Amino acid sequence: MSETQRNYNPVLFFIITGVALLLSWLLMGQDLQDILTNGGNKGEYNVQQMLFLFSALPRLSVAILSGLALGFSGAILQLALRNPLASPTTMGVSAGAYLALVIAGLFFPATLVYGREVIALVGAGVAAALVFGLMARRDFSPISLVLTGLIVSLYFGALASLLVLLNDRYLASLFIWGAGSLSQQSWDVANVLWPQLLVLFGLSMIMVRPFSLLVLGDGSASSLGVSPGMIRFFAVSIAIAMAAFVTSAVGVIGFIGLVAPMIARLCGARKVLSQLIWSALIGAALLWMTDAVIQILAGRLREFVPTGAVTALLGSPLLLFLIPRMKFETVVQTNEAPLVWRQTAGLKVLFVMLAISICIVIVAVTFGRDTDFGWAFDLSGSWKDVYQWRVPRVIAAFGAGIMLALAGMILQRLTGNIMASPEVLGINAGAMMGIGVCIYLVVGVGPETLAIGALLGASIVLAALFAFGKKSGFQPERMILIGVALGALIDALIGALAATGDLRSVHLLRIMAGSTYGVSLEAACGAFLLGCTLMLPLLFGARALDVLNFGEKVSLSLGVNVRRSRFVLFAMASCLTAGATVLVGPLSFVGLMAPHIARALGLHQARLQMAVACLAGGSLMVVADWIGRVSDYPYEMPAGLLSALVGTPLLLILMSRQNAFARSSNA
Amino acid sequence: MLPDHQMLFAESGTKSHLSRRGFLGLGAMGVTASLLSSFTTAHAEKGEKTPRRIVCLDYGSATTLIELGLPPVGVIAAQRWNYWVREPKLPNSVADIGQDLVINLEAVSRLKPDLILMTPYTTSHQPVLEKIAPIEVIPLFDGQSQPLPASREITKNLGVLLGMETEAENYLKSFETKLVAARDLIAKRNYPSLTLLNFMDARHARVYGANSLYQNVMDEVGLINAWRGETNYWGFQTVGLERLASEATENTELVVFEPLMDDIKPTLERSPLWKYLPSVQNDRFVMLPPVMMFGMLPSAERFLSLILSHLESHYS
Repeated sequence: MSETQRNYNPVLFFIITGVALLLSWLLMGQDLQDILTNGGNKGEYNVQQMLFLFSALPRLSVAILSGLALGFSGAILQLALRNPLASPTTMGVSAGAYLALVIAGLFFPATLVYGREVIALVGAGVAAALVFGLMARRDFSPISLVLTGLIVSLYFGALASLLVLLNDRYLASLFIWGAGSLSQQSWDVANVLWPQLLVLFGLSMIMVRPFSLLVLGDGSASSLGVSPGMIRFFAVSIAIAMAAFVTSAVGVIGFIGLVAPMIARLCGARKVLSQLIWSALIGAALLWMTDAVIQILAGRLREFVPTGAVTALLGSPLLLFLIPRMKFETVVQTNEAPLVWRQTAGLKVLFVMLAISICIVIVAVTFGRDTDFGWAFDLSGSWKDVYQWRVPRVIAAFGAGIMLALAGMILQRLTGNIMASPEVLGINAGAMMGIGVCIYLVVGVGPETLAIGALLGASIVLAALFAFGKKSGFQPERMILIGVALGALIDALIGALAATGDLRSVHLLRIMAGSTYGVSLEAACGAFLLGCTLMLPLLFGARALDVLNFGEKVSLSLGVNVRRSRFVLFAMASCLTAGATVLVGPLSFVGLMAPHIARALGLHQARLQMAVACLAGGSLMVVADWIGRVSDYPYEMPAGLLSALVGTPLLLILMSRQNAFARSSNA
Repeated sequence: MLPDHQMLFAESGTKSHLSRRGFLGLGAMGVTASLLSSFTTAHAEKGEKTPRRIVCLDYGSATTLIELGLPPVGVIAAQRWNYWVREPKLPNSVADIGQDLVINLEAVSRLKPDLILMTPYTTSHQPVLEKIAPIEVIPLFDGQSQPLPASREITKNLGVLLGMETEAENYLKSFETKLVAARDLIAKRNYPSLTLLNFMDARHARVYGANSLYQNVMDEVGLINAWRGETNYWGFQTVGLERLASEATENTELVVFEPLMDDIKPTLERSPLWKYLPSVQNDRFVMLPPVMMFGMLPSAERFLSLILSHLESHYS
């Protein structure tokens, strides 16, 4: 098996290519025959012929070129970083390029005419630098690299959608979600793409030999007189440039770069060169086939269904499937090793936090923009004109913050993982799926129906996570990777739905963005009370939370029924997450931030930490909501997206420090 | 005053239900239209002060109010007025109230309106906005009526509602006069058929046809729309450029309305599907300034005058 490349058996490649050929023949065989028999009657605008020559054929070529590049790029990344999960998608490179293009398109549209590729390259480079920078302290362990990359991906995606929302073009904005479309109007894109790729392929051929040695081991590469670091840098740069050029040409095409090298290895490609070449070929065949399937299935909508969204839709479940089956060399954190949490602060912190929260709430209600769009304190503002609109939103935001903080607390304690939270574990994403299913399948949905859908979705994800987590001992990084993959799946799903232009997708987008806009006083109070009610048993049962942390045996000996406590706590976390998702969308990261703020303030014992976390979470949400209301008055920015902009960097920082933390706590 | 308001709310409540159904294409014909007139009567009978501070949740009603000489106090996305509407000019006094689906309720509330006008597209705001002022859902693009006849009806009803019957009638008369003049002129000429477009991006365009304001105007003045394809109830169909090619004929004049994103033009200039379109090849293609495609009579008027001055300068 470890023998040679002779074992290579490209049957999968031929199957994929065969299917692609067959489908393409179905799509355009007739046109091809017509043209061959007519010999192309020139001078006349033959519609079928024009479409074939300038739409169908370029689309096919661009699909193949993009697939080649993405497969190749993925293979380089996986080899150079010795990471079977590396790819342009899982490293945030494509998303970086895309965000740069969105920013340029919105604010500097003229630059796009001259330098789309340059802009994409800059964006991809920045994303890669960010991911590597965050990883520098963690020795590039495979799973945490991908984790960081995927989070950067999602973060950049959220930023891009925020920008689009802010610059709405009167029903037109949905089309930006349709990026990743392979539809072509001329040979332009193909003509720009192939020379770029050719140069990059050429460059990579020069470095195949040193690169092969590098893959075999750093030692043998340095015998060539080139430092391994240089070779690695060069290789990764080529891979990033390839992904950036593809993104600049057609937008984000997810997961081809992850899957193609995987299939190549599965087929038995071993030698570096054969891995690279077969990955490229398989990538091309895969994208070609996917695009042909989409064209056939979408029929008249084929122009609008973005191939990129569909590949992401297929890719995320694959990632979910792969994660449990991969072997990673990570520091194993067992469930039994308790994190030692020493209380260093007391009630004083709670009262200070309470005072701060009250101040924030008062400012959020009274301080705003007035008719002339200036700033104004409305201490005397009337209920009818001012408070009527602000109060429900502040209550709802605070309530959602409390719920997320509680859910975060519960999950961190249950999994013994300080990075757990409803957002990170994908429970919010599950709730969002439930909401989506409700909107699409149930006619005339109210907030109650949505809440039930959200609850079901959250429970299913949580149950699955728990089942999986028990097997793997709640290994933090795997749990998070699953959550992030789920988040990516939701993102792709909504992108694909939005591209159809269905009015329901507007509704879904708005929930996704997470605005407290239009919440009724009743619903707001309901949410707030739900949060507070669920907090009470937690406050009284806080001992169980503290004890669970010490593992099953200790807990039992201390008289805590672990199984029952766990079940109750998981059920509560589902409820809390579902309620918060309906109010502020799945993106906010407050469930992660709030317990950390409490911990940073020196609170480690469950009861006090929980109380302070709730206040912090509520305040954070209220601040996000307030910024969203006043910063671009009279236009609004959704609170969920805004808090994600703060929360995601925090998550990344935490991750880059977590190793140190884990080591010190294990020591 | 209080009972009267309650009555208004109750009435708007039922209407909201109906028009939302109408929005889904299930509602009965003309219900909203008849309610508008019943509202007007009720309003007059009670001797209620006629509304003077009006907020518009669509550009169409705002243009009409401007033409009647009573500009609204607030309109959605006033920032984007020049981008989408341009004419008639939006007076500086008109406040921006945010995006059409995320209206700033505080801003509306502070304007202290006595009437809020909306189309079925924004009825999701109805339950909330009712707390601020009485609401009229004008039956424009409701999936049932055609936009031009509906606009005439709405203009007339707005005249009654606002105590400006004379202004409304005068405006309607001047509109009809322009229409008749246009019809007479067109009858004498031999204009080509037209395809009307807005570009969404460099790959996709909206083509206007049946159910659109443009189509209604063209029908009344005798212009021919080359696009016979299916359209949605907003009166457009979003198509890839190649679909445009498949519908193109020799004599079609392609009319592209702004707004146009900066990066679209250079892309088009390189696309064979566009370059070799018979209309583009024969230089039968023109770019015109923006016209509110989902507007009312002022937009119809603007559309007609832009088209005619172009056709006159090329085909007379």
